[in-house]
Formats: sequence, C-alpha cells, structure tokens
Amino acid sequence: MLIPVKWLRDFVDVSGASEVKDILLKAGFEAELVFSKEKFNGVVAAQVLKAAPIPGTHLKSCLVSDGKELCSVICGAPNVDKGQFVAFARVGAELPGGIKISKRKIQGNVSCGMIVSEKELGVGDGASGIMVLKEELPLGTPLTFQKDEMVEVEITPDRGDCLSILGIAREISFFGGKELKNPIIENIAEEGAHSGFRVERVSGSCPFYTGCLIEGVKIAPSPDWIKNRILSMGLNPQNNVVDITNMILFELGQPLHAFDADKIKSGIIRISDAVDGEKITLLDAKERALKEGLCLIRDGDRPIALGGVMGGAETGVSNTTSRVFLESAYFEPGAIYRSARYLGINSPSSMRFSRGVDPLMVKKALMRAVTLIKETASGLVKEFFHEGRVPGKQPITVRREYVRSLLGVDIPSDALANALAFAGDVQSTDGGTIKILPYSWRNDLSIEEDMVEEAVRSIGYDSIPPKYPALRRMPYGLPDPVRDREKLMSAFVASGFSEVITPDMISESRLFQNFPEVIKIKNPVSADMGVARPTLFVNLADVARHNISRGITDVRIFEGGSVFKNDSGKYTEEEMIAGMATGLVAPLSHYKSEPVDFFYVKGVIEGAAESPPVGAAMRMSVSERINAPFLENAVLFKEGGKQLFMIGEVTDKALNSFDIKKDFLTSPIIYFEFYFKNLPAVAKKYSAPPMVPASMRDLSILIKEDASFADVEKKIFESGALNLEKAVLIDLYRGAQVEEGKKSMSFRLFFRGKETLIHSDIDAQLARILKALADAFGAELRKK
Amino acid sequence: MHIDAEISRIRKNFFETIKDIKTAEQLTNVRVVYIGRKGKVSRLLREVHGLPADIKPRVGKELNLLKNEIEKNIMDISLRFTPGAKEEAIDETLPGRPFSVGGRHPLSIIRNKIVEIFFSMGFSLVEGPLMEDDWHNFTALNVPEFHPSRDMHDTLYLEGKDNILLRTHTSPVQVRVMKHNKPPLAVIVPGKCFRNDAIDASHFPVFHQVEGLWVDKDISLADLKGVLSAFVHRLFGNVKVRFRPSYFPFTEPSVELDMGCPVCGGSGCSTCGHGGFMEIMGAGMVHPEVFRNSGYEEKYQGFAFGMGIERIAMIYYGLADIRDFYNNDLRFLEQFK
Ligand SMILES: [Zn+2]
Repeated sequence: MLIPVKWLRDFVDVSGASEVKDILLKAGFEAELVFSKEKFNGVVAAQVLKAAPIPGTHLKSCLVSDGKELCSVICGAPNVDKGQFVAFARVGAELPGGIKISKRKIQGNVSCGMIVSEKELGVGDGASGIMVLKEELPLGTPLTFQKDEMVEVEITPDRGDCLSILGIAREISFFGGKELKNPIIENIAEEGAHSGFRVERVSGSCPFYTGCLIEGVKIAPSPDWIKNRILSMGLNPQNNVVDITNMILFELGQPLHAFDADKIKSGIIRISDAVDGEKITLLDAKERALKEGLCLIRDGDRPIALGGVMGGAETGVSNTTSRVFLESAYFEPGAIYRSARYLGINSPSSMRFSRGVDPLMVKKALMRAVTLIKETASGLVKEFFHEGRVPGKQPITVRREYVRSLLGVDIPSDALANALAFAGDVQSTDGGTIKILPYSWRNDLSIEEDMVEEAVRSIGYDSIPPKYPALRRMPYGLPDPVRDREKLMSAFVASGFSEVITPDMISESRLFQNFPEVIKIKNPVSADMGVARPTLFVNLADVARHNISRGITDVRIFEGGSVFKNDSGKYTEEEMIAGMATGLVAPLSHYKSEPVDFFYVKGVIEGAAESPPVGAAMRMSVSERINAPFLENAVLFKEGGKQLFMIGEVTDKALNSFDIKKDFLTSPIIYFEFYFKNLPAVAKKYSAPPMVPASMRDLSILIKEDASFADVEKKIFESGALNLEKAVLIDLYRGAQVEEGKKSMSFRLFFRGKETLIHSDIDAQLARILKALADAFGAELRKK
Repeated sequence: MHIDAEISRIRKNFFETIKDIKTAEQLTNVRVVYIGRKGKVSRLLREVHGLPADIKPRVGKELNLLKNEIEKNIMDISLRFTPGAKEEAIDETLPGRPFSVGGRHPLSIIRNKIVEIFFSMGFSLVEGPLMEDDWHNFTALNVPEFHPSRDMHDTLYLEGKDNILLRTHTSPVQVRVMKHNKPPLAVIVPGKCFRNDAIDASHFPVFHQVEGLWVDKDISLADLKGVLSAFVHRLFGNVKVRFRPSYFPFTEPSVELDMGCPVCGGSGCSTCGHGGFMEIMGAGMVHPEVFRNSGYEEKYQGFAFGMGIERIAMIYYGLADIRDFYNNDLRFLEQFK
C-alpha cells in the first residue's frame, strides 16, 4: 500500500517519510521510502528568449529555445519572463491526466508546445505559475521531478484494515504516541421524494448493503486536490464521481461503486448469486463467464457488476451521466476472494473486501462520498438505501495467566488492559481475565492468541526476556538414513567429487529418450522448468557443459537429490546420488595420471559404500548390461533383487544434444546413479585384531576368457578351502604368453587360522581351489 | 709388524684416493687397484698363509675387515654413477603427488552448520516429502483454501492430481511430525522448497529452508527469543538481534527476526537497504489451529521458525546473487572446500 505522507497528515501529524517508516516497523509493518522520480516524455529544460505581452489579453507571446529549435509559445502564466530557464513540454509530449501537447491556436496565435507548471505535471500545486528551474541546465535536458514523499507499506493478508490511509494513521497514532484526527463525517438528509428505486438482497455473500441515488449530477473533471490524490496513488483521474469513489477507497479503505442510474432500467438493484453459464462484461471491457455462487449485482435479472470485485462496463458512469446510484456494502471476505481468484482479478476492491472491510465504515464512506459529490458535482440526494445488518463481533476473553505462559513474562492487569485498548474496547477486567471486544475494523482478531499478539506488539518484543527452555526429551540428532547419506556424500567428496545442487524442474524437451510418463507441472515458471525431473542426468549434463565450455576438463560432480516418477498415476519420489566424471583421475601435474573410465567410477562407488555400515554386500552384487537413456555400455548392479548402482558412458548423441564439445574432453564422460537407499542393512561385527599372522600364497591360473571375475572369485570361496580369509586379484594378463581365448589371472590368497598354518596344509587348500576352478572353468595352473 | 703398517697405509691411501673420485672409470680403477684380483688387499691376503701362526688369525681377520670396508665404500660411491641416479637427486620443492578432494555445495555446508547448532541445543532432524498435498502444505497450517494468505506463496501444482503440489515451505513437516509424535519434541527440518517465482538475483524457483519446532507444555515466546538469539550469535558472532511483529498464518503471535548488518555493522549500507538490519527468519508461537490439525487434543504450546538457507548463505559468505548457487560453476564451488 502506497502512503503519500501529505495525505497521511490529514489524519496524523508526522514529520516525514522516515518517521512513518520507523513507527510502522515497531508496529510490525515493513515499509520502504519511495524516492520515485517522475519523468515525462518530451518535457525538457528550455530558455525563454522573448516574452512580449499580447495586447488586449493576459497572454504573452514567447520565443523558447529547447536546444533543438526555436518555438513560438503562447503562455498565460503571469510569472513568465525573458531569460528564465523553464520546463518546456514539446509538441508530442504527454502530461499526466492524458493531456497531449499539440500545435494549437490560442486566441488566434499559434503555440508550439507549452511552458508547464508543477500543477500540470502533477508534482506540486503550481500556485506561483510556471515552473522556473533553479539551475541552468543544458537546453534540451529531459527533466525529472521529485514526487511527494511516499512510503510503500507491505500489508500482510490479515490486516485488511491497514489497506487505507486511515488504517495506517491509526497504527502510527498508537505506536508513535500521536493523536488520531478521525475524519468528521456528517450524515446527509434525503432531499427528494421517493425515487422509485429498490434494493433486494438475496445473496448470503452480502450481509449489509447501502446505496444512495443522486440526481442532477454534473460530471466534470475533478478539482485539483482530488486529481492530485488520484495521481499520487498511480491512477489516472477520470471524472469527479469516479475519482471520489477511488479516493475514498484509499482514504477510508471502503470500496464504493457508482452506477449510472439511468442504465439500471428495472429500477431494482438485486444482489444475488450467479448461476452457471451467466456472462458479464466488466469495466476492463473483457467478457467473463461466471459460475454458480459468485456474488452479482443485478439490474433486475441482468448482471451489472461482480459484487465486491468490479463494476460492469454498461452501467458505469460516463460524461453524460446525470443520475448516479452509489453503492457501499460489506461483502463476505471468503466469497469475494473466491470470485476474484476464480476470475483471476485482483482489483483494489476485491483486495479489501477479501480481507474484510470495517462494517461500521460502510455507511460513513457513503456519506463522505455523497458530501464530496454534492460539493464537486452538485446533485440532489434523492434517497438512501439500507439493506441487511452490520455483522457484529464476539468479545474475546484474555487470561492474564495464559498471556504469561505464552509470552514468558507477566504483564499486570492494568498494563495488559492498556496494551489491549488499541485492539478493542475493554469491556471488563476481572482480576485475572480481561474481556475485550475487538474494534469493528479488526477482522484479524478472533481468538485469545490474537490478543496475546496484540499485547506483545503493544508492549514491544524487547520487553520479553530471552530464556532457554529445558529439553524434556532425549534428542537423537541425525536419523540413521540421513547419517548414511551424509557419510556417502563425504566419501564422494573425499574421492574428488564436488557436490552440485540443481533445480528439480527441468524442460521436458531435454528428455529426448523415452521416459515413462513424466509428472508435468500445471503452472510452470517457464517451459524450461515444465516437468518434475525423472532423472538427475539432465541437470548434471548441463553442469558438465557449463564447466567444460569454460575450459575445465577435469569435471567430477555429484548431486544427492530426488527423481519423480509417475507409475501409471501413482506419483513417487526417490532419493539417489548421481554423478558424472570426465578428465584425469589426478589433477594435472608432472606425475602420471589416468583418464577417468568405468572402473574408476566403480571404484569410487565401492569405496564410498564401505563407509556407512552397509559395506561388503556391494562386492557381491550381480551385474547386468542395460539400455539406459543417454548412455552406452551401461551396467546395472543389483543385490538381492534390488538395484544398487548403474554406470554408463555418455553417448555422442547425448553429448551433441547437451552441446558438450567432444573435442574439449580428455576422457569419456562417465555417468552413474547410486540407489543408496537400497543398500542392504548389514549388522557389522567388530573384533580385536588377529593374533595369528596371515599366510600368503599367490595363485596364477590360465582360464577361459568368458569366466568373469565375479564368478571366479565366488568359486574360490565356494571351493571348500579352509581358513581362506581374502582373495585379491593382483594381475590380469592377456597377450603373447597366453594362448588365444584365455587369460591369466593371479590371486594373492590370504589364509589365517587359529594357529599358524603349516605349509602342507595351505598347499592342500590351494589344490582344492585349483580343482574347483578347473572343474568349473577348465582353469589350469600357469607355469612360470 | 711390517704387515700391520702396510694394512694401515693401504687404508689411509684408500680413503685419500676416494675423496677425489669424479667418474665411474676412476672408481673402477680404484677397485682394481685395491680389491681386484691383483689388487693391494688381495695380494696381502695371499701372503697371510706365510705368516707366523701366532699372528696369522688376527691379520687375516683384519685384512678381511679392510676388504669389506673398501667394498662397501666403493658400492656407496658407485650409486652416484649408476644410470638415472642424477634425476633421483631430491628436489624437495617439487609439488607432492596431487590428490584432489572435492567439496560440499555451499548450501549444504551452511545447512549443516545451521543443523549442527540446533543439534547442540537438543533438536533432532526430520525430513519430509517434496511432493506434498494441499492439506499439509496449506490447510493444516491454518491457510484455508479461500483466504488471501494463500497468495503469500506462488505455488507450483502438479498435473493430473487436484491437490498435489511441490511444497512451498518446510512447514508441512511440522504437521507430519506432530501427527506421529506427542510432545515434548524439538525438531529441525531442512529441505528443498519450490515456488513459482521469476528468477532474479534474490529469487529462484527452487530454494532451501530450515524449519524448526519446539513443543511442550509451557514453551513461551521468551524461549523462542532465547533459542533463536543463541542461534544467530553462534552462526554470525556478536551481532545485534531484533525481533519485531509479523504475520504468518500458522503462528500467533508471529515475529520476524532481524540481525545487525554484518557489512556495515548496523550503520546502514546498500546491502541492508540502509536500515542497518537484515531479515533472516520468520518465527512465532504455533497457532492452536495447527495443533488441532495435528490431532493434539491436550493443550500444548511451542514455537516454530523457518529460514531460507540461500539467504543465510548469502549473508554468511557475502554473496549477492542467488543464481550462483544453481549455476554450479566449479570455480565458484571450489572456494567453499
Ligand atoms: Zn548494512
């Protein structure tokens, strides 16, 4: 809500915008000073070179230089004089209120442009005539003008009562200790006979409706003081009647609507709800289809306004209007919010009604409007209308003990009653309790806690002493799954990966490969964020591209995040860690480094999984080649039927589509997904270090190429060899010394028994292993 | 005695000679001259046979010791001349074998700092779903469907479901926690949130919050002030803390917490909008409607608070553009290691 300080002074004395801001902050409103400078197109600094009186008129014929050309201008201001630097509106300039400057004749003399006053620019009252510039600006400089001091106040949705100058003045009066100058509004008597008009109130959304029929109204531009107020609120002045209704909306917070009464043909104003299929064209000239339940104002049956939201186009006040029906009503907040939201309209009226207006202001605002209309547009007050009842409020009981308990500080009864006097009428104070009736404008106060807030707002938050509560429950800190995730992430960091965080919404067009039904966002920020991501690949590829294109060739990144899945209508989210790596394993240096590849990434994942207490099951996982989007040579690793992790190489096609230049890469880009939530829970057992040393033996075998490491390793342990603790593959060889179709594998085997093992016994175990491998894979001992 | 003098002369000469050795050839010559087949020591060893029996063992032993000593010295010197030995001369100023460690994202670092401070005060951590239903996100938090407080958040709704959305704050987790736990409880809820905000230097459609909740029989606003002031002081040091009234539908009374601007120290600068303070979180006493919606029948009291991790991180690190967090430029991220 924009508050012009000058206007505010009608209700409360303030020194200036800064004081307003400071007081409002105490009251709980964030406010900002508005240093808005108005700039008008085509208004420039110019110099008056000649100013000669035109005989027989009060006008002067002037010659003005605007730096571009010399213009003859007819000026009526008494203070214009030769040599002055002035604000000059060139032909084509547009002034507030829609005035366009054109070449025109004034009493027979051609005038090309206008020497303007503050008043014409809407930046001052212009009592002294044209604006004489204090400094000699270069001719032709576009001019800016400081508007009145303004404060922009952020009003939270509970405080509809502060969407007015009066409402803000009330807060300033209380929190600044200043007197409130309440507007003096007098009742006006009806001056005519019965008008023949009738108001019928059917809708439950309008408990209270008032109106006034005024005849013989002369529609004209508003007087300057009203115009300036309308301009200061950022609106364009229209005519006296409409400007008055708008001004009162800002001033008192009560929206009013003026109908052209001659266009209400039936003579019956009916307030009733819409039925499906009805239509109305509103003041913004757009036709809108209505739905059942929206509150309408009708001319008989014909909808002429959307109650509390906006008037209709057909029945608005125009230059030819002479009979005005003025409406001032109280609409149910929820109903108006529903109407406004349904139609997507956020009008100054709907904003106030949907937050609740002051029901006791409804009639006062009408009186103020009628008074002003009579003053500025004359007219005869024919008849007042009054339907329904002003909604009342319930008193709230405030217990001093509860205030103490909630605030942590005791406030004596008297002080509490004083503090609360700002929120309502204190009806009774009875020892420990205070009964208080909230003021009619305070729609935000309905429960005891609301009053506690008013109390603390009133005494100030600084008067609450800070305390430390006693914790009466044993904290557990991090839940285990979160601890595991954090440990995994730390392990990736230790392996050289940087964590990235990316948006969960991505562009559907980036998913060029088949993703089963994605979850779309109904109202996306942009098409780039149109779907909830079904994969982390897209964002990671974007991050990779961002960095690679900036010359960073070693990229190792990971993200812990959720992917969103639509399993035939069932929406799920699944947490995982995904990552990408390319470049050299060790940073650039004179030492030797390896390019990133599949096994590097596999090692990192295996290493990471060792750190949480889930461990070794990883090594026993089974692998399966899969077709994965964006990837080739992708392998999925599973354990106990559950997916553990997936690794693949980003295809050239995907590189292309993500605009990653292959020339920049020093290794393939390896992508992985780690479904860490599926890691089996392993109850780890701990023991003292072994007392007996391990015995090591190396076993080199020749074996068929198609025997996988995992199968061979498994077979070694299933061979029945006793005391075998560990088998590590230490060499893998294919080539000249090994026959075609075979490979050489060397394992270092670690045996450990309860006592030191003897050679012959270990030899027996070796023989067992070799036999098992020979039976299963035709393996034979490799001769050195 | 002649032979003893001879031995000590050979030893002395040997050590004189090796001082001047510069090349492998010189070393080879020395070897030949002293312990070669016809060398000085070998010659004397051959002469031992003819020595008197009383000194024979002693001299033999001494000669063998001398031979070993010469051999060892020649071996040590020869290391200087073996191929590649020159490069192995240690230049200890060379960089160590590079080992790169990655880093957590600055938002995670700040989140963990925040969470750790609250852990130290006894809070425990809870997480909740990103896809939330309308009821938990709004209605249960005293934001009815047709109320202007709905307009405080620009919500992203999901297609194909009437009331499923991407959570606009972490507050729905309050209700989820209370539905399954009776007080006393003190929880902290970090997580991602989403709003339909246009992107600029201080807005991004994705952001992170940390929510907190402490509920018991008689938790008060004074407790809120104590806990949150302590938090700010732990994270930012000795800064001013200011509480002022505010409005959130799910708290009553509601407060906004400001801290003294760390840039200007409170005198006012462009970072703090010349006010000397920066808004860092919203808080308040849990609204009775929220307790009711969480299924609490008994009377409880407590406070809740929520802060934006991005905002805290920007103040903490002195950054000006929220988008930097989501560009993930490694040159930016590496600073936070
Ligand atoms: Zn500052």
